[in-house]
Amino acid sequence: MNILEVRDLSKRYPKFHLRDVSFSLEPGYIMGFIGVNGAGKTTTLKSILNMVHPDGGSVLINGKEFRENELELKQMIGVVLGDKDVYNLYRVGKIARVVSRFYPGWDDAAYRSYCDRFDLDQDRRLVELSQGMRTKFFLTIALSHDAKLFIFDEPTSGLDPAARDDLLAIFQELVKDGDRSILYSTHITSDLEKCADFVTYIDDGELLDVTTKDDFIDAYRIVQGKWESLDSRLKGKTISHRKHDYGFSALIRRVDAGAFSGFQIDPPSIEDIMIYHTRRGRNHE
Amino acid sequence: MNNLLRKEFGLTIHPMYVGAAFIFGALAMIPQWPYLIIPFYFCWVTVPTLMGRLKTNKDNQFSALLPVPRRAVVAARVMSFSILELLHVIAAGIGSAVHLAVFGPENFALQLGLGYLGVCLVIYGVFNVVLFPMYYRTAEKFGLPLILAIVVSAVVAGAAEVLVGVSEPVAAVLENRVAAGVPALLGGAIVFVLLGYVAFRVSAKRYETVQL
Repeated sequence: MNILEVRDLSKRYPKFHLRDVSFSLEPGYIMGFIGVNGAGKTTTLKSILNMVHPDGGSVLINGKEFRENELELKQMIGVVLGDKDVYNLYRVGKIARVVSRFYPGWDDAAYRSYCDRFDLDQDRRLVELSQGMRTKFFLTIALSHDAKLFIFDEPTSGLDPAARDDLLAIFQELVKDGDRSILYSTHITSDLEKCADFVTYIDDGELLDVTTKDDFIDAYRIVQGKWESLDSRLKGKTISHRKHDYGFSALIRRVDAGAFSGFQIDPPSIEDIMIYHTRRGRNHE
Repeated sequence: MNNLLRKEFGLTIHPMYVGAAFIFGALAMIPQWPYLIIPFYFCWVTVPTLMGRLKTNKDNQFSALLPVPRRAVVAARVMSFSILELLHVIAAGIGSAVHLAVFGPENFALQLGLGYLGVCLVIYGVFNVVLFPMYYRTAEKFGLPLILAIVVSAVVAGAAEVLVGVSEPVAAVLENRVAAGVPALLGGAIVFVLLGYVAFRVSAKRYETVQL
């Protein structure tokens, strides 16, 4: 059974429309939710959590409709949103004590053990912790009430490379047993290359791809060649293309690679895929 | 609800605000004063500070992730503010008792006593029923709701002072000449509870639709 299933989630704002977002996540996997700033990542996560009321669609966690079983299902999810500075003048221990009362399954021994492991000093104020340590603190809280689904919004944003790597290693360790899953949004594509089994790619409120990381990369190719060789028929087959001093480069779907025989064709990075998708309709010529 | 109330008094409401109730209550010991100003210190000082704290601490986001319904969050908020208001009334009651023992009841405006405490409760009830439903339209912007709540409750306080001045039956009830002011206090308590309930019901309904 999927631990998370999102079906046709939609939300319309005056200047933004989240359109029929659907994806699912099985236990034991990490899903990277990627897209550029403003693509709809946070809106999707907040809609999943019912913080933003979606206009349509449904969210099932552990097979149960989230909105109808919100209180029960919140016991099994751990969430760290972009705002990690809630009650940040309070001490770590005090916030944990307040939060622990809401979870009947709170395991104080587990809390202490994770605090030791992450070097979380109970007497430090949240404001005194680095972004990475704050994420670890909220992660500790989620682990102490035995959350099975972790939802993180840009957890590595603002972290230095070492802290990012450290956090991603923790993510991988969390899902190792096969009963926990992580959905995390990011625009830092190198995170995905290190730590994601699946990739869900959203652009301008529309889900473009939900697949394994390898299939996601394998579905595209970067083509390079002389600008004069790129006729209008070939231009029509690119997702977007860019003219530069030495010719052109373009992102194409792998299935269209046959039309570009004679050009240099390479596998793209996830960053390439995001950049070229974002430039759709705005080709640099 | 118990956990949410503990969260309110553990994170949002610093113990200093409980102490402040007794400092403001001590103002009742001043001789010859418009004592209906006293309940407003809570509205002028404590409420804006608390609401600012809620905003800067991103309490909406914090509470939304807890396994509690939104209406319970509103109920705990209205209840915790009401508890603080009751503390202010109790503190004003203690100040009044000292004042009455030292100076007696004579005053140029509304006299101290149980009737006065009843009016304080009505003022807080009106304050709550204006403030919370307006605030929970956004659960973030509190400037206009607070100003309006203060203005409307000040009108109620002003009306009480005027009625005591012009109507002997009203003065008799509010200045403790009818059953030592007990009916006025009970009436005020009933209005306070009823308006608090209305404030909660309307606010909870509005908060359900707020996008966090």
